[in-house]
Amino acid sequence: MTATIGGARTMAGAARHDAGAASDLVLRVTGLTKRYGARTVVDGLDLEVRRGEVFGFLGPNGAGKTTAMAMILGLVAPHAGQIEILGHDALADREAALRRVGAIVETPTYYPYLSGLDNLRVLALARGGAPQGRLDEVLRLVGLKGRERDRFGSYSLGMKQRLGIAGALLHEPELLILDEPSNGLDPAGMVEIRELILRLAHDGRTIVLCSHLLAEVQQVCDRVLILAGGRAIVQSEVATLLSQGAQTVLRVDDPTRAAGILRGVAWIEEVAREGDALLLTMPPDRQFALGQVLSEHGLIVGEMRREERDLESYFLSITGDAPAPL
Amino acid sequence: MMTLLRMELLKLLKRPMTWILTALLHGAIGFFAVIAFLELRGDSPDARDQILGNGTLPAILPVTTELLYVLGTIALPILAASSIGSEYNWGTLRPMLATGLPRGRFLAAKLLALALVAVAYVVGPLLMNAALAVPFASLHDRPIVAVTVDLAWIGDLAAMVGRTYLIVLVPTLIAFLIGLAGRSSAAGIGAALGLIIGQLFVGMLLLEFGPAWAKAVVKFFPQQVSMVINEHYNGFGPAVTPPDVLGEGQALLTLGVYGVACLIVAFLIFRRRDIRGAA
Repeated sequence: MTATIGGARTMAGAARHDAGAASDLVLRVTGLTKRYGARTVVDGLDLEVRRGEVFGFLGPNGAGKTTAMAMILGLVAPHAGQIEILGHDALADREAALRRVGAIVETPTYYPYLSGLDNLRVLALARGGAPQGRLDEVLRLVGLKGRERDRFGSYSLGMKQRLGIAGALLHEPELLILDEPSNGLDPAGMVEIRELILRLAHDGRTIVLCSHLLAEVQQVCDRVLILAGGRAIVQSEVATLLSQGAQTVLRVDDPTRAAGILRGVAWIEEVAREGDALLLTMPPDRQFALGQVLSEHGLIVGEMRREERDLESYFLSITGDAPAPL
Repeated sequence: MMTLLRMELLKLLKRPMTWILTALLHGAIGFFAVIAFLELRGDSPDARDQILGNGTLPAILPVTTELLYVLGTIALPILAASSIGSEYNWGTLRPMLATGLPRGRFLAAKLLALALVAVAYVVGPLLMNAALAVPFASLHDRPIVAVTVDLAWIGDLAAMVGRTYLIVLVPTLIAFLIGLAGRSSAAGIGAALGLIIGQLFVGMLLLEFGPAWAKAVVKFFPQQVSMVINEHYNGFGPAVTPPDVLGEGQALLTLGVYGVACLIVAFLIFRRRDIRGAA
């Protein structure tokens, strides 16, 4: 449990919030519900995504993430709820609502006998066409220039992902919905995609990112929604979530006596023992006060540090005995 | 709509299956013409005359429509069922429809592209056999065209092409509908071919052993209607309707109703159905 990897996300997020007006909503979902027979796959989902933010969409396998995304993209009809995309009612006017949206849902699936370039042409024609220059531009952006004439069926999973991102970016969307964009990529490819997402977000695009790579989500996303059993159980800023689970690690010369004393301090919520260390749940701005209490009782402090949770441990703690993350 | 049609044509024309089926269809129809030429060697003078007549213009054209009635109603349904079934098999409907593309327009463009390919599948073999008939006629000192080409002849030819097109198009729409409903190329191809064979068997059984009402129903089987059009109405000169056979208008209308019904059902299914991952 460390606080170090949150830094990149926080800096990027701050820059983005400076760049754009954070108040207007790009995507608003209210009471979204989908049932298959007696099973409710998505149950009254509410979510809001603001302009310019990177929004993480998380949940264990079978939580209903892909169904929710498919409903947002008009692929699956909801039983109840409303979806508003860029001011358009997506259920009443799907075409207008999705005009400025680019998406990859699950592993990109294109025509295997067509080249990468022809697949992009097909996608471009589906949206009314795009100049060849734009096709070249997105191919260069995702690193597929030079391989664009190879058949899609011969692409590696990573290349398919890149082509999926190229297809999603083709018409310069305002909202990008990316379902597992790093799936199948090697570590260098993952870093590239992460940097690409941050660059796109910095350029003012709003991104909904669905990923099982929680470290990636933590670095890239401003806010997250965690879905379990079809319901949103958390929707919050990443920084807030991480600080909620933060603890103060304390090493003193007499931990047993120290634990007894600290349990009597009103602003310390919880004192736990882990080996020779004490783990305190307390407000982050009370560190000096803690030092003073210990000093007053003659306890010698060997170490005192703030330890934030990472998103993975937070995720596992609230999704309980879920079989596997995402 | 034009860009969507271009999109569907791009998909169809770059698909190897389209060209394999085109080659098979033209190859098979051309093969029958060549076999007819080869048969000339050892036949009696009467048979030679008949073969020579059928192998030259204009008689080779109705002969070709008969071959299209058999081979075209297999080749094009296979392509149609694959055209929609593969979208489900490959999972390509998701990225296509996630663009906001209206489902009705997507399906309409797909059907329109297939309808254009169907034109090529009908006109191509007719042109090919007409071209083959020219050297055939020259080799046997026959006139290139054994009739006077006038407006009536051109009208008959156009009507023949139109009727053959409808004969090929209806099983194509049936196969498309089954491929769509079954979310699979294999389902579409299997069911469409099964339907052709099934109609023949069921039709024969009912005509032989069935009650009177069943015999009346058999007359309206698409395969039976197509056969009637091909045998009695596809040709040059005035057509004669034999007794107990659907009139030309009735037959064409029946096929038209089948086609429209398939289109309506296909649109209704596709408009409402959830698009889930690849099969």
